[in-house]
Order: sequence, then C-alpha cells, then structure tokens
Amino acid sequence: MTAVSIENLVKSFGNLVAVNDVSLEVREGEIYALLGPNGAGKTTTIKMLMGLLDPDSGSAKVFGVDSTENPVEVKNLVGYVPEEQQLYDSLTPRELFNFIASIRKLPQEMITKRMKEFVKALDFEQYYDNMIVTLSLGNKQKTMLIAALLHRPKLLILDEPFSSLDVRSAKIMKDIVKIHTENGGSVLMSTHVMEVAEGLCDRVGIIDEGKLIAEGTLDELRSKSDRVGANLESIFLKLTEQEEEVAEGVSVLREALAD
Amino acid sequence: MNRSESWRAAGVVAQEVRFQSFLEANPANLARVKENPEKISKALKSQSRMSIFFSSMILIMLAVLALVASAFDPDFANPEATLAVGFAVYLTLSFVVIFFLNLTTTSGLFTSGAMSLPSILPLTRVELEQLNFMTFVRIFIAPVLLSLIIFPVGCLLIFGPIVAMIALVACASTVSVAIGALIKVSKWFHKKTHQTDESRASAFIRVAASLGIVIGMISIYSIGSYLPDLIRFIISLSSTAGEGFFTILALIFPFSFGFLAASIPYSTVVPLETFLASIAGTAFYAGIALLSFKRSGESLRAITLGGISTSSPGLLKEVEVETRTPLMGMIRKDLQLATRNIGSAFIFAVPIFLVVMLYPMIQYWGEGPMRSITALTALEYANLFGGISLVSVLMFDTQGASIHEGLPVSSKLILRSKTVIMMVPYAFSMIALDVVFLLNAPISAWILLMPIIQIPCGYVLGMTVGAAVFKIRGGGRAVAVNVTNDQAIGIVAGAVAAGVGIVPLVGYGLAMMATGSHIISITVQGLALLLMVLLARFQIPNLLKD
Ligand SMILES: Nc1ncnc2c1ncn2[C@@H]1O[C@H](COP(=O)(O)OP(=O)(O)O)[C@@H](O)[C@H]1O
Ligand SMILES: [Mg+2]
Repeated sequence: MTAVSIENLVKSFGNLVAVNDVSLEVREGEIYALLGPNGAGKTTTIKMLMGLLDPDSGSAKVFGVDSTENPVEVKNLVGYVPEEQQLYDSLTPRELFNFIASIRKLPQEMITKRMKEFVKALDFEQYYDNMIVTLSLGNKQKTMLIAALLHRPKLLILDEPFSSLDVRSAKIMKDIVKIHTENGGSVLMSTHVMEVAEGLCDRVGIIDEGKLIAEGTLDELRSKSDRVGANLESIFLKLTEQEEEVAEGVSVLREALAD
Repeated sequence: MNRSESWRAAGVVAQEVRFQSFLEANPANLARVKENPEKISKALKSQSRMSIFFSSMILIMLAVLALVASAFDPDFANPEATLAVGFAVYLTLSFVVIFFLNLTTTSGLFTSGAMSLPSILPLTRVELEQLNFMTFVRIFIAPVLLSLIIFPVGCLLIFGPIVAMIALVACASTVSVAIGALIKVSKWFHKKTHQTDESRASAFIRVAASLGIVIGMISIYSIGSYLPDLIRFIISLSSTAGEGFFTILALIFPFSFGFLAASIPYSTVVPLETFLASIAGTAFYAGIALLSFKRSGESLRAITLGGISTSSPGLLKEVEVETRTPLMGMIRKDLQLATRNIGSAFIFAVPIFLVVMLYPMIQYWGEGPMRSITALTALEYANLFGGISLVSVLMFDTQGASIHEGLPVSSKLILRSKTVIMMVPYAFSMIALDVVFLLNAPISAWILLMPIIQIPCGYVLGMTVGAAVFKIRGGGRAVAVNVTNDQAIGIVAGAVAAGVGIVPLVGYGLAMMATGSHIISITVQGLALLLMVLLARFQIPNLLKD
C-alpha cells in the first residue's frame, strides 16, 4: 500500500495557482523529499494532504484515507511537524504531552514508558517541566518531534524540518528520520536545501511555481537532465530552467562587486 | 552605609523586585526579555507607574465616596451608623486594594533572590536589615502613604481632629494587617510555585491576583453609585437585627474603628455599650496590627539572611504521561493556559463584573418591587457577556497552532470543550443574578426561578457563538481567534449571543403579556430553552467541518 498518493491536486489563492496539478506517491518505507524554492507550493501541498486546506480539485490520500473526507483519521495516522513552530508557550512539555496523549487516546502506561525512552534518547529530562517559552529553538524542535512521534505514526510529514536547526539538532533529526524508516515507516518532507534531499532521501520530487517538474531517484533525475554525475543543484537549476537566469544574475553581481 | 545611601540602594533592589515579579506574572514576558530587554524594562516602568496611578485613584475615590456617603447622605435616619459603616467599608476596600494590587509585586520579593541580592555586599547585619526595610518601604510607599494621608485628612476636614486621629490609627492598622497578609500569602505562594510537585496553588494565586486587578478596575467605574448602596444595605441588614447588633458589630474589625469614630460627633446617639465595645475592639485590633508590623519585619529579615526553603528545585520530577478522555484533556489544557495568563482570567471575573454592573442599574430601573422586565433585561446582559466569554476561551488556542494542526481532533470536540468551560462562569453568573434579584425584592418569587432555568442557555450560547465564529473565521473548521487584533469577532460573538439568548426571554415576555401568569411564562421560557438545547446538541455540529 502506498503511504501517500496525491492525484492532480490544484489549489489557487485568487489569481495565483499555488499548486498546479500535482501528482505524486510516497511508498511505504521510503523517504521522499519535496524540493523547491521558497513559494513553490510545498507547504500548500502538505496542508492539503493533512486536510488543513481544501483543494480546488484533485485528491490526496494517506494510506487510502481521503484527506478531505476524513481529515481526523488522516491525523490519526500521521505524525506532522509543520513549518512554523507555534507551541503552547505557557505550557510545560509535560502538560503538552499529557494533552496530546489524551487527545490521541494513548494508553497511559505504555505511553509513559515510551516517553521515558524519548526523553532519555533526546537528553530532554531537565526541560520536561520548564515552560515551553523558555526553551531554546533546538529544544522546542525536540518537543515538536516527540509530539509528532508519540503515537508511533507510520508516516511522518516534516515541513522544512532543517531550516532552523543547528548542527547537533539537525543530526538528531536526521537520525530520527532514518530510524523511523528502518522500522518500516515512511517520510514525506519538504525542503529547499539541496544537501538534505541529496544525502537523506530515497526519492525527490522537484516542485516549482506549483508544478511538479520532475520526480525520481537522484540517478533518474540525472539522466532526465542529461547530466552524468551532476549534483542535485545543477539538475535542479536545469530542470527549473533557471540556469541561464542564474548565470546572468551572477555575471551582473560579479560586475557590481568588482570595483 | 548611611541612610541616604541605603535609601538609594533600596531603590535598586526594589526595581529588581518589580522586574522579577513582572516576569513572574506573565510567562510570555520571559520570552521577550531575551530578545528585547529594553522594551521589557520600558513596559515595566510604565506598568509600575500605571499601578501607582491606579492604586492612588482607587484609594482617593474610595475615600472621597466613603466620606461623602457617610457625612452627607441626607435620607438616612441613623447618622452614627452611616459614619461607622462608611468608615468600615472604606477600611475593608482599602485592605482589598492594597492586598490585590500589590500581590504580584510582593511575590517578586521572594523570587530568584532579588531580596538576597544585597546580602552578597559587604554590609553588616544591621545595615542589611535597614536596607531591607527601606526596600520594602520603597515598594509599598505609594499606596501606604496615600492610605495614611487621604482618609485621615478628609476626616479632619469634615469631623475634626479627634476623628482624624482615629482614622489615622485605623488606616495604619489596616495597612499593617494588609501588608502582613501580603507577605504571608506571597511567601506561601513562592513556596508553592517553586516546589517541584504542585503548581495548583500558583494557578489559584495568579487567578486571584488577576481577579483583584479586574475588581480594582471595576470599582473605579461603578463604585460611585455602588458605595452608598452598600453602606445602606449593611445598615438595613443590621438594623433589622436589632439595636444590640451595632454593639456586636463594634467588636468586629473594621467596624470597631468606625463606631469609635462615630462616637465623637454623635456622642449623644451612640449607646454607651456600643462605645465601650468599639474602644475594646479598636485597642485589640491596633494591638494585632502592631504585632503584625513586628512580624513582617522579622519575616523580611529571615528572607534576606536565610532565604525561603523550597524543596530543592534541582530535583527532577519523574517523567510520566497522564491521560484523560479527549474532552477532559482538552479542558485541562485550556484551564492550565487560562491560569497562566492574567488576561484570560477575565472570564472567571465575568460573574462579578455582571453583578457589580447590574446591581446599581437594577436599583435605578424602578421604584418599588422588582418586575419581570428588569429580570429579563439583566438576563439579556448576561447573555451578551456569555458570548464574549466564549470568545475569550477561543483565545487560548492562538498559541498552539502547530500542535493543533497535527492532532486528530474534530471541530465538534473543540466546540464542546470550549462550551463546557464557558458554561461555568455563565452558571455562576445566573446564581449571582439570582442573589441580586433576591436582594431587590422581586414582585413574585417565581422571578427567582428565571436565572436558574436560564442556566442551560450557557450550552446553547457556547455552541451557537462558537459555531458562528468557526463558520466566519474558519469556514466551519475550528479556529482560534484573538480579540485584541480582531475586535470584529468580539462584536459578532456578542451579537449572536444576545440574539440567540433573547429567544427564551422573549418567550417569557410574550407569555407574560398574554396571560399575566408567572408560572405559564416560566414554563414557556423553559420549553423554549429545552428546544434550543436539543437543536444546539443535534443540529449545530452539522455546520462544522473537520
Ligand atoms: N493563505 C494564502 N493566501 C494567499 N496566498 C498564499 C497562501 N498560502 C500560500 N500562498 C502563496 O502560495 C504560494 C506557495 O506557498 P507555499 O506553499 O507556502 O510555498 P513553499 O512552502 O513551497 O515555500 C506562495 O506564493 C504563497 O505566497
Ligand atoms: Mg513552505
């Protein structure tokens, strides 16, 4: 069974077509990266998949559950880390996790045991009773991650998970993603950072101005762009037809910086 | 260290104490202080100026009104009781004002060692104690001085020097007791909040402190018409209990001071035993106040030199997860959020707000017994407040969008949890209104049933107002709204609540006009509500979307 199947998804905001006829699949057990510049439509796609936005047309399914028809069930299946981090500032992680476990109807004993493991693994014990507002960005991210992983979802959806992390936290995040897939889980993440997609992901979908312009493993993308051994950056620029634009911009810049 | 150096140093410590308490009072400040310390200290300065201004305004108004009411209230027959009760009411209210307006500041006395700051300096014990005392004086100087000056001076002008002296003793005693109570409560508060196990008490104090501020504000607006009524009310209650009752009152704080003061200008009217009782009472309470003053000094000394022992804050609590049903989990989370934010405490103050606002209004609406139309109007006001309190509950979730987006919660569950929370102050409002009705001698005892029957309307209001907000702002999905930057939604909420909540009241009114029978009218009101509850229960969830 496919973890995510998105078919001909369209969403416009006024005149702007933010997501334009996107179709993609995330298979079970794989890490899929939605790669694209800022404003490409990654977050909008993910929000429709989570049932937070209604698509104009097309459909999105998680393990066969339709996101528009049954968003609550979709959220039951998914662990979601959104792009912006708005946690409950004046709660402590303890209170937040109590809340989440209650909403998800997780059995108390089992979840306490699991929480102990998480807290130990992430070195989080001394922050467990501090107000979230006082936590550092990395610790907030950990809070968010525990919140998303608490119910052992089969699918993780991470929207720009590395954008605000320092080296250490980013490493932890990558490890978590890997462990999650080793246990048979799937991951859909969005990113505008090449290295992330290149090093971590099984398959990449390149999205630009709302359109999915290419999809596949790194090798498949190389052959599509006729570039043997190329890195993702040049593939990306070729496929988004920005190569000339960028080159032009660079030469202008070079002049500007020359004297 | 001489006195003036000590005084200046005390200013620094006092500033730090204010800063700590400001941070403690609102957790969100903790975040901002990292990013923008100047802004925070500016906000703090303006806030402490505001709080001095408010304390002064409130105390001045209370003093002027109490004096005016007790000296120039022409239509009352017991002038001595009027003066005594006016005196006592002033003392009580000034106690409340001093206590609550300074609660957050005082708790700062004990936080993060602001007071032990000087103990690292090369000072002798005596110098330290002096510094301590001055810090304390600097923190409370404004309300204390005001309280010691305004009322006695007023008494001097109206009743002469002897009454003024009594007033001074009375005010000094009240201040001393209030500050003693403040220190005790703050110490206990500090202990509770910094023990690693329980934080329930701290939530309670935060709510109480916020309520104190809200009540302070309300007094400013409404005490003008309220104070004379309060005095009259206490006197009429007492005189129905018989003449001897005044003598008993004279033994009780703060009436002792009042009756002693009243014995001077009205020596011919006040019975001897009341006079003697008031002297005994005054001596007793002045003694207690003196004791409390000494105790406060000792407490303060203990803080600087010993600190307050809380169970070691380094001790980590065991990691565990406590689950509830989804609905209860949601409500628990909302209450935790509510008690940590001074602003959200407004919702708990709604019943008080209503009573303070409506009581004088009801008095002015009509001569003679209270009629149904007065009750209907009061209940409609409560509906309006109900709508607004629901929107304040919706404000709690503006913080946690990222968490909410990933959670499998149906909009219906969210709506139900917000409604349950909002129903509590609504039910209290109804009970409070019932008491107000009772005090205003309703034309028929059946009127007392109206608020009780209206209680389930809280459910209807919560569900409809919530659904309307979700529909307008979220297209049917549950949303959080923030009234501070979206006032329109507050107005919508008030309008929807007023429009929906008026239906059973109109039913009552029409039935009353048609039949003139209270029983039939109440039945109509009840039936209308029953129908609305059923509609809200089964139809409104269909308007929502997940
Ligand atoms: N609620 C909205 N209203 C109007 N425009 C929006 C809204 N959300 C996103 N957009 C626009 O849609 C485009 C895609 O946005 P988004 O999906 O957030 O991009 P990405 O996540 O790839 O950076 C952007 O141009 C953005 O400005
Ligand atoms: Mg995005």
